Amino acid sequence: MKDLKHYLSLMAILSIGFGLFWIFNFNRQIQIWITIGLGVAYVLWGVLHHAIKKEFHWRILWEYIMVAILAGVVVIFLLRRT
Amino acid sequence: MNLLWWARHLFVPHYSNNCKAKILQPSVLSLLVALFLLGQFALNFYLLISPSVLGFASNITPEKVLEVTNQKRAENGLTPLTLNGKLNEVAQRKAGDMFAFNYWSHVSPSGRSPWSFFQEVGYKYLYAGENLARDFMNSEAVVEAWMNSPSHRDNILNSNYKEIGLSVVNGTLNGVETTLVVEMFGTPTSMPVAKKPTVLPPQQAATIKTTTPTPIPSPVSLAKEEKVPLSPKIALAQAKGETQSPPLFSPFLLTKTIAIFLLGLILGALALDTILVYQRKIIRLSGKNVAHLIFIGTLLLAVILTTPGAVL
Repeated sequence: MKDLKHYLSLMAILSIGFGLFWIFNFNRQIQIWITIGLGVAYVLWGVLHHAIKKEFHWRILWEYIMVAILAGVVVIFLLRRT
Repeated sequence: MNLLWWARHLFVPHYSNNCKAKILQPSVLSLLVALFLLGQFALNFYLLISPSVLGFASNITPEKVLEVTNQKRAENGLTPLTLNGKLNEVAQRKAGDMFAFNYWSHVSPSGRSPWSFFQEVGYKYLYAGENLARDFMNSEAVVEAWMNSPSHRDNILNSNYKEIGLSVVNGTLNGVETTLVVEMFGTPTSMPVAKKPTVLPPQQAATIKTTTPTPIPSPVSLAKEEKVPLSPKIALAQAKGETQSPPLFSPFLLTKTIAIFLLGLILGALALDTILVYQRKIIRLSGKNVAHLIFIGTLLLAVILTTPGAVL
């Protein structure tokens, strides 16, 4: 598979984030910060990945930002509901 | 343009959407964010104008919380905490204050700390601590959540504490029916302790040592067999020999359902887009679908595993 190392690094980042999310279960404030951190890390991963492959474009950046915002906002508002 | 055209435009890479499912494009993603936020604000507004309509029911009793707390201490070789009437009163007042001033915090918006409630009821302490929980279904889940949080666990397993007070109160917080559990720990100044008290970090679950120990403590009666004061709602329910009826629906579960639907929809669209792009060998300037799938899949899993309840 192409870019296997890139995807493995992404999975490592998300696994760590998910692990922390689980460890701090019921500590909503910390979980919200973990979610924000995951979103930022994801956008950075996207920028780096496309920059390394020399196919970076602002439209791609915008796409990663919107995916991160959508998923992040949904999780954060759920966490704030309890 | 019929429904089928719109469905294809939204979910299938096609010349009409520049070879990328429209729902995955930033313009539609931002629209979905806006709609989700609008829905959440509408729900907040509804809760504001119709408080207590939506709610959360639980089956928590102070007696069971005490039993499980002491069970955890016993498992760690610690002596059981003794139920104290004044600490019960402290816990009751703290819960009442949170409902009265609509906050969920160790310190009230006006800056009132938990320790002021100790002073109010005349409980003079060497050590004191506070654990808070809300929206759990049963007593075991409350204590388990505290045990999974290092700072709260430290409070439960603190050998300096000798007494405990508990309060389980139903009320309305930010327009939502909520069950608050307040657990107050204390060691009265009249009780001899093995070693000289030390100052614990304030962030360690708000455990403090009194800065000015009172030399002559007022008599602090231990209330081993005292019944924990219950909220009128719980007392009434228990008197009738029934548990509280389940709510119509809770804002948490409603938000969770919407979240799962929304993220699931995007995930499905991503999977379809990935397959079609691969099959049709489409070349386009775009983010990586596989990365989006992994990221949204992870957060969807987090949403699915999130259950009601919070500790502080």
